[in-house]
Amino acid sequence: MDADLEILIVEDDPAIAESLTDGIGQEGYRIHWEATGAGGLAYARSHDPRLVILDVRLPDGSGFDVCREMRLLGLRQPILMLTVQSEELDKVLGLEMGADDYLTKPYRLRELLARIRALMRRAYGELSSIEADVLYVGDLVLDRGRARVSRGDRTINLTPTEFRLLVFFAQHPGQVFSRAQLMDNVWGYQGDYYDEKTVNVHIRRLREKIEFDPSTPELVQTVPGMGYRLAALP
Amino acid sequence: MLGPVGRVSLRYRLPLSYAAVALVTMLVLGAILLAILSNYYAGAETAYLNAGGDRVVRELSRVDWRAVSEGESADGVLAAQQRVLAVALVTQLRVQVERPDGESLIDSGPPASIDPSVLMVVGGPGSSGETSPGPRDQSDDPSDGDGPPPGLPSPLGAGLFGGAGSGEVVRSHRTTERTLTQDGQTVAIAHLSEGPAYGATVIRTTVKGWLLAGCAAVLLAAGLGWWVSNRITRPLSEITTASDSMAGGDLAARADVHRSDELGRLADSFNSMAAGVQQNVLALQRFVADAAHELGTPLTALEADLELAHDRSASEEERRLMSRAMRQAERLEQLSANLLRLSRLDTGRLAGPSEPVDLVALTHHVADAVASRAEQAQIDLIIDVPEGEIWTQGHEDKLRAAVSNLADNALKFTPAGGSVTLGLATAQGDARLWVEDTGIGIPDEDREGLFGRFHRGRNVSAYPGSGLGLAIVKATAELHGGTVKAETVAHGSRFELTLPIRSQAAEK
Repeated sequence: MDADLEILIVEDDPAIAESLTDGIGQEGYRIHWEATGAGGLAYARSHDPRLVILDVRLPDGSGFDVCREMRLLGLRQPILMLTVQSEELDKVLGLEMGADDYLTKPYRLRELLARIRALMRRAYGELSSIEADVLYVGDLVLDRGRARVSRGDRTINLTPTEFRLLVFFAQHPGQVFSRAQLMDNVWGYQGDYYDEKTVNVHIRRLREKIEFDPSTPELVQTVPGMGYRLAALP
Repeated sequence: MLGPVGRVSLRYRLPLSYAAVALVTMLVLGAILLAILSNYYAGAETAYLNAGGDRVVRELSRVDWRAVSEGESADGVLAAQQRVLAVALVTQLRVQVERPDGESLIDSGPPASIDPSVLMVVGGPGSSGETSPGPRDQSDDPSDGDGPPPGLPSPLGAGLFGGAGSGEVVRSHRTTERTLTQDGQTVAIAHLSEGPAYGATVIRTTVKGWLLAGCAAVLLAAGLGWWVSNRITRPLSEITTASDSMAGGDLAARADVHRSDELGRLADSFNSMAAGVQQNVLALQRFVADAAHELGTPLTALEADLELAHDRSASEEERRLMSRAMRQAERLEQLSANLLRLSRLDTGRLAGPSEPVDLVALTHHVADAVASRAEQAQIDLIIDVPEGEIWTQGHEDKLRAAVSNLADNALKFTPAGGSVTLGLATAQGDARLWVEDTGIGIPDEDREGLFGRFHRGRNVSAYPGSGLGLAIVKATAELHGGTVKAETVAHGSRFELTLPIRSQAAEK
């Protein structure tokens, strides 16, 4: 990947910073680490990184203040806040201060990477649209031309039905479809003779392939009594 | 909380005991006073009777009794009759004279009915024949105010007789008997009785006054006792209220007592103890919260590194070890998150406003959230929730977390092909929210400490968990004034949350 994609990490804990540097670095990003809010702010002004990861708890104040000051200085890059407090207030504050996303510690590395990819794509990449050959679901990339799904640099192998199912969902993010509707639109079955279990089984297999944790699906969601929908991700 | 204090309250006991002391004092004093008074009047009445008796004897001794007994002359007796009647009138005594053989010679009758005209008869002996002994109704003018004859002691002094003239005079039951002897022979026996008992009137008046004063004293004592007891119990109830509030979770409650006596010192020492408790509890809770926070940071780094190592490791064996380490790190992470949650619930009653929460919507939300998991685990999710709204008062996020916790548990412990039911109903003014599964159930020996902190069931060692989930559910239920119970049902377990319903009428 382009070494020009620089990410600034403002985090006072060296263990986390090192771990982040390693983890994000493997995705091809260049990492710069600052331990203080003041240092982070100075670096952001002088180097204009592509993305900023900001810890809420900093030795010289709150990450919210740094975030707000960056916005006041006219810096527009995506800001991802890291917080240990899962309180609603913190989240709202963080987003109102101009942060684009937040993640609660402790987080999973792949979740963080997914958020970074999604933020990067939103800020610098192509926009998702039904007509486009490439669709995005969070950090999943659906390349319709090559019938390929990837996450980061990892390719996910889907069967043609699973792929069609995912593409159909991705074209209507957040919309709920009954099993009959899915049979119509994905399988092309018309009429009454279909087995709903077919849909259930395919959904389950799809989840096993694309979800971080298939036992707690976050992308393809069951809506009790109605059907399924794809989570509307940023 | 302790029950209300009833009649045994100091508030009532103190005035009552004051009144009782006043009553006893009054009774004792009254009894002594009465004894002294009646003793004095008894002596006075006896002396009066004796003086009257002496006078009667003197009058009778003028009679030539031998002549009388021999039937020679009754004149002497007639004259004596007049004199004795006069004495009876003046002394207001009943005088009866009889012969030794029992023949009645003179009877003045009750003193009040003695005809005052006898005095005039005494003055003119010639007309004595018209007067007969015994009461007689005559319309003549009463005597022109002769005082008691000289030599007769005034009964008990004029001062005490002030009110004696008006109304009925109380008669004494005392009597005296005099025997008259002449020439060594008993000639007549005089009985004196029904003397004026002015003492009784005095005593009656005194008793009346004493009763009045006594009642006033008892009431006064009770009033005083009430005032004193209020001064004592008000600071006590202040302290009680404060300690009840503390027990109810308001660690900032203090007793507002400003006094320099022992109660003031008690309040001060209670307040400083409360401050100490508050400080300790807050410090402990802060410690737990801080510890959970501090654990979070290295755990995050640890997990990220393990993940990285896992993804990069070439050998299957290494990846297996990494996965295992990651699972343990995840468990630690859950533990610290739950500790943090629990410590927030513990301090929950000190912070955060509560608001109306619709349990119907909440149950649907939880069902939505776990539906994907249930389907993925091939568990049938049954939603048994009534139409409409069921409101309770509380913190929606905490309640939702508690119900999610129960639902998560149910999914965790139910094998594929089973079912999990999320139910909601109202019963006896409460909302009942239950989660029933067809899972592994609860062994009897785990029933006891099921909701305890760090409790892990005997049959769950194969499942991940921190042992804090149900403790969190319980703390949440209690925070909302509800309860949670667990039971084993036919094919699994059932957990039921009972929460008070917030009536819509109470909303505004």
